[in-house]
Amino acid sequence: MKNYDVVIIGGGSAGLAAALEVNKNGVKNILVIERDQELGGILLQCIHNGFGLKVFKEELTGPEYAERFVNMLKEEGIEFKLNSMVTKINKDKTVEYANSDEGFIQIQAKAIIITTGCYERNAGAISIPGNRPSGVLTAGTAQKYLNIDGYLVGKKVFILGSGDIGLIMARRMTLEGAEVIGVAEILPFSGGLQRNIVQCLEDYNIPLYLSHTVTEIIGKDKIEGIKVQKVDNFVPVPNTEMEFEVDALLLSVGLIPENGISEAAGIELHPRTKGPIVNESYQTNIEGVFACGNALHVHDLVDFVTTESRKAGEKAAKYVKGEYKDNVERINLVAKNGISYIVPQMVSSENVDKTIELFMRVTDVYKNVEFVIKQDGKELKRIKKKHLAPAEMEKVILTKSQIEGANKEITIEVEAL
Amino acid sequence: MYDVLIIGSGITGACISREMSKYQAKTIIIEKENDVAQKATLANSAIVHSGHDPIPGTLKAKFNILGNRMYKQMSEELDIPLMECGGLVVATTLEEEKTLDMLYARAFENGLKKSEVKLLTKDEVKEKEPNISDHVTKALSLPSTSVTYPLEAAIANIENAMNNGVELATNEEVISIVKNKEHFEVFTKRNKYEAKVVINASGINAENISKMIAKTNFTISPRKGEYYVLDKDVTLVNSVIYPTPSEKGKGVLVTPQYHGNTLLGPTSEFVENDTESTTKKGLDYIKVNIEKTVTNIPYNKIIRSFAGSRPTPSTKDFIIEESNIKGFINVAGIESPGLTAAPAIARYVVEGIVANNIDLVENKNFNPYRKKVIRMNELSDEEKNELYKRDSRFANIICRCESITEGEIIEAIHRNCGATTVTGVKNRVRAGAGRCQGGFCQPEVLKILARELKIDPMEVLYSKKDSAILKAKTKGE
Amino acid sequence: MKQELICIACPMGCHLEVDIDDNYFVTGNQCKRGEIYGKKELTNPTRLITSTVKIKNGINNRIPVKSSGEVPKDKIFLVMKELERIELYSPVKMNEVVIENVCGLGVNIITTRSM
Repeated sequence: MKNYDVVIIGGGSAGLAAALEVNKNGVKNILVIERDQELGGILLQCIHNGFGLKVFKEELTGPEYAERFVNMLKEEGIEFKLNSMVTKINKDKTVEYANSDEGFIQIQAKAIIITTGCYERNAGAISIPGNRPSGVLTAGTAQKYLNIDGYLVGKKVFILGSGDIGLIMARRMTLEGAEVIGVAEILPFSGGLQRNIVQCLEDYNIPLYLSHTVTEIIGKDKIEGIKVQKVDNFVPVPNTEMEFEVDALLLSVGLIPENGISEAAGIELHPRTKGPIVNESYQTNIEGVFACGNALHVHDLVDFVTTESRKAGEKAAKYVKGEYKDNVERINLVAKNGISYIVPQMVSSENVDKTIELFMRVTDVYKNVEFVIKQDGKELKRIKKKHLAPAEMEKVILTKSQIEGANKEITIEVEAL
Repeated sequence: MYDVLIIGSGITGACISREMSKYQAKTIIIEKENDVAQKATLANSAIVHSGHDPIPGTLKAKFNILGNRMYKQMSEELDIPLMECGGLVVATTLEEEKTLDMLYARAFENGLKKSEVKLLTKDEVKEKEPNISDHVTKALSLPSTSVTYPLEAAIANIENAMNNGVELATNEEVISIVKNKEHFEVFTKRNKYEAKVVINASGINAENISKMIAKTNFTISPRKGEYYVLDKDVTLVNSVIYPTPSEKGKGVLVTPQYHGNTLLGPTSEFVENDTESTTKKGLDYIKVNIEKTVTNIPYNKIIRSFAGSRPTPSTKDFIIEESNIKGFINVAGIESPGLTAAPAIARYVVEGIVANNIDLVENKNFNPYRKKVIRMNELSDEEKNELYKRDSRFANIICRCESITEGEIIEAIHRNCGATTVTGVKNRVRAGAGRCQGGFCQPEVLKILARELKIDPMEVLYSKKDSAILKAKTKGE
Repeated sequence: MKQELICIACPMGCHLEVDIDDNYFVTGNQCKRGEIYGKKELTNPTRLITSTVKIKNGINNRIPVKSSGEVPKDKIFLVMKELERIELYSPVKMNEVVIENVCGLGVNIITTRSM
């Protein structure tokens, strides 16, 4: 069995950044395993711009962002395998994968970093009543057909869900000659970035129906139309039906961290993030197994994925070098009123150098509020926030001493000003 | 000229086609859809019933028991998935307990053996099924209940029949049937077929097909059933959980599936046209009624919902008879327990009715075995690598949720009765049946289909006729 | 008169307020780009174009491209039409010029990956 110090599962934005950071920290025996025919992950089909402002201080498209990282990886001579699917990871940190060059292979790692990204919620999961005709696709699948293969999945399209991929696809399909009839969002606010509503919908006069959802799919073998209805607290309001003729319905109704192999290995997942529960070092409940990127929690900016994955890479390297302290007391980081989740979920000051960044999402749209941070119920600090939305990830920085000041937990909540 | 023409490729027609292939007769099975078994066989609970439920003396009771006893051998010969999980009919009230006692007696009357029926106390049920509801007071245990994969059962029968000489024609919708002196002429939208014997196994359409030529004393009404599918990482129940039946029907079941998913359903509602659409009402009905028998249902693990329609006959029993037109045989109204009964029905139809019309000479070359389907997930590492050495595409995993390889997909396309559509691939090898529902692998499966069938990607169908996934090329191409 | 805008210069999505009467004075921005965007959006709105062009012999049938700078909003479809006539042959490098001075707008169309 071949041995590696660190095996990274997934060669997308998270895996690339993590691998480079492991390498930078002096651990050189690394393997990146990628299922696709090239490195880069979903960035390769995100041909729009908006990537890299934090990491490269310039605005890049997805493929450019990916290629820069891939080039760095190749320059460093980090080993990677393409067209290779990891089928299993085990508690003893053996990794099983398969590809048509080697067959079914098992390797031994000292540390594993899970960077498997996420998948899209789909028609099955949201149970729209009606038939199951062709022409109902997730926005990401339609994006792959369009940007990689050069095919339109519809010429008269409606989009359910205002997640970023849906918004981006509304513009892409419009530019490529399709008619995008509208976007419906079941919530009273969009799940995507404001800038995408402006430049993807408003620029092309595509209506956004907030508090609306698709209540029926019309068509038996292929989709012929849809019924859209206003909702009040998720319940369709009578007599608000609109019917549209369409040949495709794209779903942009959320992303779910991909943790099939993590779950099978016994990694504990968080009910809100649907990703592994991790500590300050991005380590899961299995010692030596780390997670970052969209496999950990869904990010809205790739730059944040990169920053997070660099940290996870650094910690994994420290683990391999024996500089990471696992058996230490940790305090919980608890999401209270108005906060949906905090990542990491627990922290020990022992493994924090000076500060630690906490990522979180809020549960609702807020204007002029404060984050209230408490140590064991005792107020520590307040941070003013002019505008908060669930679609936009928030960041709070704690210092080592602030963590040391708590015995049991640090809580964060949203409070009106 | 065919000796026998079978209309319909559901489980009934499929089993009849295989039964016919045991004889030196020229047999064809024609199907109006572009793939086999697309109606009731595709969308049902997948249960091989023990035979406790049908009213004694009916054809349903007779063929249910006979069919149940044939399944194991059939599944071994044809490599059809069969999970011998047993079933429990659970009672929640005193009145239901009385019904249970009645079913207990009926099971024996129908011919079940002593070892195949047992009454369980509440505690015994709880021990077998930790998620059973506290309302449950007593249960009837039916260990000869199994779960199969009905679509594969139909495909396997047809594939084996084809390997033994039977022909299959899809996209053939029958529009009229006439009888000339000696034989029938069956007209489809595209062709004319001549046959000495015609077997009407057309499910929901059986009444219409029969009326084309024969005196028809029955009606067939589509009765829709809706289901939820839970993700395969949930183990909710170990055996099939039936509520106690009432005048309203068999009720809402919880059924473990061979591939690890769990079905919640069905509903039961007579419909006119809308035979395969799910409704909010139906799905809500499942949620409300399921709790009576099983608790801790993880609704967040629902990956899909679907509906199918059962061909419910006005006669309340299977219709298996030669019509007033000699050689025209109706096998109609094969609703539950039709999946279980099908192999027994098929044998009876061939040996008991077809044999009266034409001379059946044994086919000495009949091979009862279907080449085993390669299911990489069920193999050991050595077996996997053995296959890989033969063909490296068996290590190229296309569907990551279900770990399905390119090799398995290609096989599913090229076998007899193979897949021609994305859904056809999914139904045969489960590529795209997992939690991402094909989000990642559909474009790959589409490419493989185009390459193997030598068609343009834009011609690849999602499922039914006219359901191409790709609508146009970009950049003026 | 003050106009509220959401800055699209980067994914931050700052909520801007542009005072049209005060020489398009921008507030609410967190960087210089917001100031530029606020003014330009109300005077001469422009957008970056990202799309694909045909490619032969590559691992995919399409290669992604972008405009090297922003183009006036009302010229977007004109540029899209121009992209239809392009067909590249692999290998191509990232940021190679595909169309120079597209539609006379002073910007180039460049590839956004190598293939």
